[in-house]
Amino acid sequence: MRRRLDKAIAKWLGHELAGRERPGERALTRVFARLPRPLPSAGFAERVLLAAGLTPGRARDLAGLEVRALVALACALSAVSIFYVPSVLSAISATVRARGLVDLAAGLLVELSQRVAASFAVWDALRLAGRVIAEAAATPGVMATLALAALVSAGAFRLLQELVIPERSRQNAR
Amino acid sequence: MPVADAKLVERALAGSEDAFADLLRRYERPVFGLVLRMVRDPATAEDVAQEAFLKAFAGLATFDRRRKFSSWLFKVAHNAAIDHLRRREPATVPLETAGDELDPLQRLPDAEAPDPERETRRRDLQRGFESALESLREEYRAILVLRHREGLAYEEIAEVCGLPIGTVKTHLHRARKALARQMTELGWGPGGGPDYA
Repeated sequence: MRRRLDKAIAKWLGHELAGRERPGERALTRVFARLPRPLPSAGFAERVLLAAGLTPGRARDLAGLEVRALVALACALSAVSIFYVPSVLSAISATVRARGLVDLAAGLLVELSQRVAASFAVWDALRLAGRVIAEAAATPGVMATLALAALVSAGAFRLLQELVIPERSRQNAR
Repeated sequence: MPVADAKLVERALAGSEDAFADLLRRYERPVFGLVLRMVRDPATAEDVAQEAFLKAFAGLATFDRRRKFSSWLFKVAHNAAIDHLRRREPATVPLETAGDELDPLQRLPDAEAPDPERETRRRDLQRGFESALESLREEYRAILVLRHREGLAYEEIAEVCGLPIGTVKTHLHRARKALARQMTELGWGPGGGPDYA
């Protein structure tokens, strides 16, 4: 980032000091595009909305009558359910016996073992695929093609970045 | 696919609070950025930006919808910043003497830096550039930001700043030259800067 800003500034100054107007303008736009945009502090938009007498985001989501009724209902149900908690707990403890717990734990262990075994099978398949790719990549022709493809991709990416960053900077404002 | 400004303005005028909120969130950064470049203090910039948004929302009904909303909003923000600068005693600094005492915004994060500020700024490329920018006259700063950061056309800048297009072009030219001069004084040139190894 810093290096790119270095280059952008150096390029702009080169055009500017040589009196090249248009390239200088474009280069300065690229410099600005590489600078971080200053941000207002968190909650700025909400404060402005409040000051404008409008309801900011989350508060607005809760402002509807239906939503408020649902929240009130949920709170009331939660409050009432507290009275039933002891009886529900005792009912659960009566039905779940020690043997049941052991069975449950054993079942979980079996399930876990099966899943681990399945993952080993996937691992073997991945290893096989890796070996095939490694053998292919060890061939000079394949290596050269891969290197060339990587170079072309990097170049294309860089070019796109150069094209997109100033444009995006302009569009962000609109 | 973002909704067009005109559509949001239409909805806002019809009473949609969501449309107001969307417009605000879309432009809070550009407006704050412009105002901050003009008033040079983040807290003040927030106040002025807020004032600008409130004025814009209050006056939305008067907005001519054939025009571009962003230009109109920038104009409101620009005027709010100018009003603020006029209200308080403006701390104008001649270009020749612009230097260390400027740029309180950039100085804040470095309050505990062990090196002298000037030396730190020389080493810090981004701050060097921003310091040079901050040392320009306020109308130059605003025009540079509108042109090179926000990508406004000369005509739009003329509308925002209330200046003839010719003056905008002259200001831009002079602003760039002054900025380049500041940068070269900081040790920058076409070959790079002080740290450009």
